[in-house]
Amino acid sequence: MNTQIPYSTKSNDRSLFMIVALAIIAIIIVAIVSFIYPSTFIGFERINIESIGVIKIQGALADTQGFTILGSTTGVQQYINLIENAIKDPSIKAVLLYVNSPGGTVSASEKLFYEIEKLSYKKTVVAYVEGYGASGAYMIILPAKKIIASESSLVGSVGVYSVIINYKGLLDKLGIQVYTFKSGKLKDIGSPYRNMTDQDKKIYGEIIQEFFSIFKERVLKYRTIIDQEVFTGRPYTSKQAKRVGLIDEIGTYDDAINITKKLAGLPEDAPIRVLEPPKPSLLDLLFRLYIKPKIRIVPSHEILAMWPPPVVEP
Amino acid sequence: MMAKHLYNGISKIKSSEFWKIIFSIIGILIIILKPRSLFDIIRILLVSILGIFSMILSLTIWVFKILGWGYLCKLKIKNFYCWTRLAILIFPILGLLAMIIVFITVFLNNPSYIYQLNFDSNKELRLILFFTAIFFSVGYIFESVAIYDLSIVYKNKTLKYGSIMYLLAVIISPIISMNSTRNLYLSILGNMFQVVISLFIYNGLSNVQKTIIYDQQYPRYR
Repeated sequence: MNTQIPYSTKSNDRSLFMIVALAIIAIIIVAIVSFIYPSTFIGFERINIESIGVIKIQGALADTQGFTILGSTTGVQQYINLIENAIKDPSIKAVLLYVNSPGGTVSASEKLFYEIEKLSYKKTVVAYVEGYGASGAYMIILPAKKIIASESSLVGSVGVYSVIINYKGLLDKLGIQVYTFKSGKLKDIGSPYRNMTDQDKKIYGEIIQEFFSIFKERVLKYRTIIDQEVFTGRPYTSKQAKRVGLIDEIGTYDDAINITKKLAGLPEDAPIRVLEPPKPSLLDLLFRLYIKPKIRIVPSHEILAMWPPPVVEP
Repeated sequence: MMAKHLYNGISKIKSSEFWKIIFSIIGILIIILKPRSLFDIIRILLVSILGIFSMILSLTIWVFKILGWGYLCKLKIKNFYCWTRLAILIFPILGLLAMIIVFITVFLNNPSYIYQLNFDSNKELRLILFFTAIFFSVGYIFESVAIYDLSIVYKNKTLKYGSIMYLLAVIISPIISMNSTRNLYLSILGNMFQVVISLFIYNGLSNVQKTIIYDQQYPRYR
């Protein structure tokens, strides 16, 4: 059984090298495309079935992640990234924002508000509050088509504030003198090392009022408020919040999911995908954890849209 | 002597495919068991052990390949097999060197990158993956084409399909390596595909071995 196949070594070698050359060209093209457009192939992991994306927004909202005067905070950038992914993903028809947050800084809340507003133009957005949906956290969910809260949630606290601690009296008692050299008399407004003047207080009052009026305008744009007490900054229980127009429904998480599916015109068995920030890689765990928490210089006070107010834990 | 070299060569390549299957399964396990925090001690230990094991395996596979194609090269029946052995020997070393050089260059330019090892956002680090993917792939391209040639010579369909899938997998491998850090499903899929390919090639090479045993050996040239 000795099979003989007509075979020419040289010509065969040549054709094999040709295949190799073509394959190398192909792999270089693929590698260049992968390098220049890394997101081109991300679609592989996506299930191309119309689904609901769930984004969980939890904890105090701040511009950066870490430990600030608000305690442990969640950087809003990671939520913004998730929202941008949801906008780009054609398989996500609706987004349910699961919120349990007391709010945070005005700037961080505003960033997230704009992003959710952008999302609401492209997809059906529903918000579900479980626990806290107060102040800045309430502001961010305003563009949602429906706001649903669990029975024992606290919602509202529409307003902004700033807490300034003054150490002047304490420093005087300790005999410590602080010299501040400034270009203008108001440059160190809010400094904890000197007493506040009437002018300082007036300016602070104006800042807070200005920020509050922006917040109020947003509430009035998206909600029909039937009680002006809402703008005193008080928090409401879910029942009260529904009565004054801050929320639409009281229900469970499952109710929120069903309502979202209904609003987006999705079937009852439409899949739910919890959108999470990417898990840290082994390298991240090894190198990044050691540099966290980052020590950062924080302003002695911030304009907050947050309720309950933060406390510094001993 | 010829039949012995041929048999040994095929046998070594077959062994490399067997260990590749184990290697891919370990790869899947590593992805599944990936620790979620530094305090996940058991998983860290497991992944570290599996990681070391897979490093040893990758070396074993590499050595088997070099030996296998070396035996076929000794037959002096086709230059391409010798080129295949050379490519398998040299390109992974070049890939490793490229990786080290780019990494050191990046680190010397900006030592703070060591704290920002994010392959998704960092272009320099993506460049490392780019060069590594290209260099590592060239050797495998040679091998897949050489296996394809064996399949034609021995008229073995399983080996033929295996080699074609192998070539395709090598061509698309940069997509997997450049997206694997954020796309774990893609990584798992890649490893599963690799298992299937290796099974095809393993089975095909077993049939080729049987043919050699039955004295068919390497078909003569005109």
